[in-house]
Amino acid sequence: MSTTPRDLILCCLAGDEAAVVELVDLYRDRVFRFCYRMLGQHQDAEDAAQETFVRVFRSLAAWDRDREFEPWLLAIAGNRCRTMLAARKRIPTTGLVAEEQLIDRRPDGALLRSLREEVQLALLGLRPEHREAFVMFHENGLSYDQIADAIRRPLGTVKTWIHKARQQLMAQLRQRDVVGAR
Amino acid sequence: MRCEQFEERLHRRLDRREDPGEDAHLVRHARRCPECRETLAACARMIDGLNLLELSVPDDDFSLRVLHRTSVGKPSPAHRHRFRIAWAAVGTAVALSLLISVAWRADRTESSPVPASLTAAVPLADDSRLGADIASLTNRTPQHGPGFSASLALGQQPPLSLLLRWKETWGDATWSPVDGLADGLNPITVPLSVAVEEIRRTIPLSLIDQPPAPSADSVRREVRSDKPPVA
Repeated sequence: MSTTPRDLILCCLAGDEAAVVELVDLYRDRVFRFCYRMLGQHQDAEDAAQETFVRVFRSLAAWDRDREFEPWLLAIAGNRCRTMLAARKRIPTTGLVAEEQLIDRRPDGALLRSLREEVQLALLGLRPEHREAFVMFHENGLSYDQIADAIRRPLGTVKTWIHKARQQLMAQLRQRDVVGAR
Repeated sequence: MRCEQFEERLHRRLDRREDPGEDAHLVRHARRCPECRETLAACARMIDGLNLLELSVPDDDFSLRVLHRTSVGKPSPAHRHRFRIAWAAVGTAVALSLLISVAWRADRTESSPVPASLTAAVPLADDSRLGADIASLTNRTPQHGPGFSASLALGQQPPLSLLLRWKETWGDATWSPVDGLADGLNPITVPLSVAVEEIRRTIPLSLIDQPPAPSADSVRREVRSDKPPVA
């Protein structure tokens, strides 16, 4: 018998701890990956993902059952990531993106690794709100409507943000001469 | 196809999650236009790069840590039960206070005139004359309800009407406790010396200025002096 996310949520609301674990297991990779794209660091992404779930369970009773769960979850994750990014601006750190900036130039498989790291680096160069919408669309597979609903922005704004994010990513890849590597 | 149209078409395909490299129109234009060729190549690299992005996963105990954090601070069933009892007690106390307050107000509004049974105006058969005397002495109009003065004068418990209306009665700055008890009986408001002088003036002088009663010695002396001398 398969349990839908909605059933799990109802069980969570009834205080079923097993359902809490199951719901976290169901979404943890997607939330973590989203946070990782937003923040670029494993530890920060894990903290943000954990905080996201804690907040989700605290406000689960307020969740509008007419809305889809995943966009709501990712919207909370996006808020957490933007808060952490804002905190980063206030606290100067060293080597924040260092692990992503260390481009491996070794000949074996270097191109693929380099491409992956270049894209990750370019993603981190986007404005947080553009990045959030872009990752939701391209990585989490949400539609424009779902994103607009999740981040409470007009549909046109979401489309504009995602188009700008794409253009900036492509421009950066061209600028860093990654284009001809295919 | 112009370059603007190329860009527009490219984004439209990306919006539909389709590979722009499979669009013949885009590829044909890109072959002729170096700028758009670079854009198409960058787009392809971006898609490849996104597909290559690490599929990182959180640590294994991630779910348990979340569960621990959501459980911390959540009261246990025993705590919740105790809280419920405490809240019920507080609620009951508040409700009782409100009830007493409402009853008190209702009683106040209905307390005049006070029922005769509560006023304790009970001069008995032998006391009927005393009661009548007191009533005539106090000659009080029943401002505070029937039986008020008699009950006070008889030293009985004050009636309920007085208990209930003490505030409005005593709160009146122009009212004095002896007002209305008897005609002409007023509180002393003048200075003590003036009052003493007034008392001296109103008490008959004969009582005040009468010489002191003679002592036994003086009477004896007087008798002796009145006796005629023995011949």
